[in-house]
Amino acid sequence: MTPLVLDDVLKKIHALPSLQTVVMELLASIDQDDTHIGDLAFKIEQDQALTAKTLRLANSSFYGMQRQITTIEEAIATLGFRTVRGVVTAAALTGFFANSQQAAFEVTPFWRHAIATAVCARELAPYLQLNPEHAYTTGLLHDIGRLVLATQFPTHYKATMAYGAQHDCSLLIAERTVLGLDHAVVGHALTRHWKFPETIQQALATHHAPLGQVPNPMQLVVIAADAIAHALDLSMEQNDAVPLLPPGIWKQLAISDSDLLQVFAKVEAQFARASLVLDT
Amino acid sequence: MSEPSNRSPLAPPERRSLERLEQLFRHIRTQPEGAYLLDLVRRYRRQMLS
Repeated sequence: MTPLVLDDVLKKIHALPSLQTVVMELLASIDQDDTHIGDLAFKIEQDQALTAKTLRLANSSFYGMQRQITTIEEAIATLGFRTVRGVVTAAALTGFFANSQQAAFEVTPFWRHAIATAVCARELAPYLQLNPEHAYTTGLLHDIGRLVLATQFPTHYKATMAYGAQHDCSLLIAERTVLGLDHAVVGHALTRHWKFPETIQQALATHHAPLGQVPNPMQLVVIAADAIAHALDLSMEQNDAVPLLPPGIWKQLAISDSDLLQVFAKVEAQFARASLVLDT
Repeated sequence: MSEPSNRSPLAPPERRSLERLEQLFRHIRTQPEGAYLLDLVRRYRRQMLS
């Protein structure tokens, strides 16, 4: 099969619609201390699909609410801004590709892994003095380039997956061999098109840094979160495999065994809630 | 839009077996970083069972 040409991939990306304005504003608000919750709640409520999904999640039995939550502002007051922002971002991203009938793979396991990586990155971030919300969003998006390739170039991506299965190698290696480029490049281009914060763009571009290269703190967090999410089998994908890790990654993270065991437990507990976004 | 289900989103017990772990770590179990993570996940699974 002929490898892809980067310019053709970029043309497809530029033809994709923008994310909802409110999602961009939520992401931009991560670094702002003076976020006006009332304003953001009002903006979220202008999007009926996002509002409906968020309220259904807030009222699901997992959150154990004693009374019905009927507004976004109420959801923020009850669940916290951080939880609502995570839910809205995940709902918007999963919804964006929901109607892709031609995807080369089933999207639910993809999103299960993305959500697991996101909640794990959020737990690991404080150990490296990183913003947990940046880490969450970066984890959620870390493989988004794969979804772009699977939906925009399904025949090529099916061939990539077949190569990976035949050689029992990682999809990253299969992408580079069959497509001549990988999902990190594509994910970076998409987040650039969507005008995501620069730190997220950079982390996506470099989350598969060469094994000999020392990763920066956000890379470390995303690489470790990705590996832990695979190791805990949260995607439940039959052919899943923990990817190769940069040498010395656990020393660089410098998180004790007992803390990591606690992180595993928190990730499984939070994943149970966060993945509800896929059911609604 | 369907109702949110209350089923556990975590892997069922048969997917938490040692055999499944070996399969998940097949690319990395001989790498020190992989062996360390495999050991931690085994300890975590044992803790959860006890």
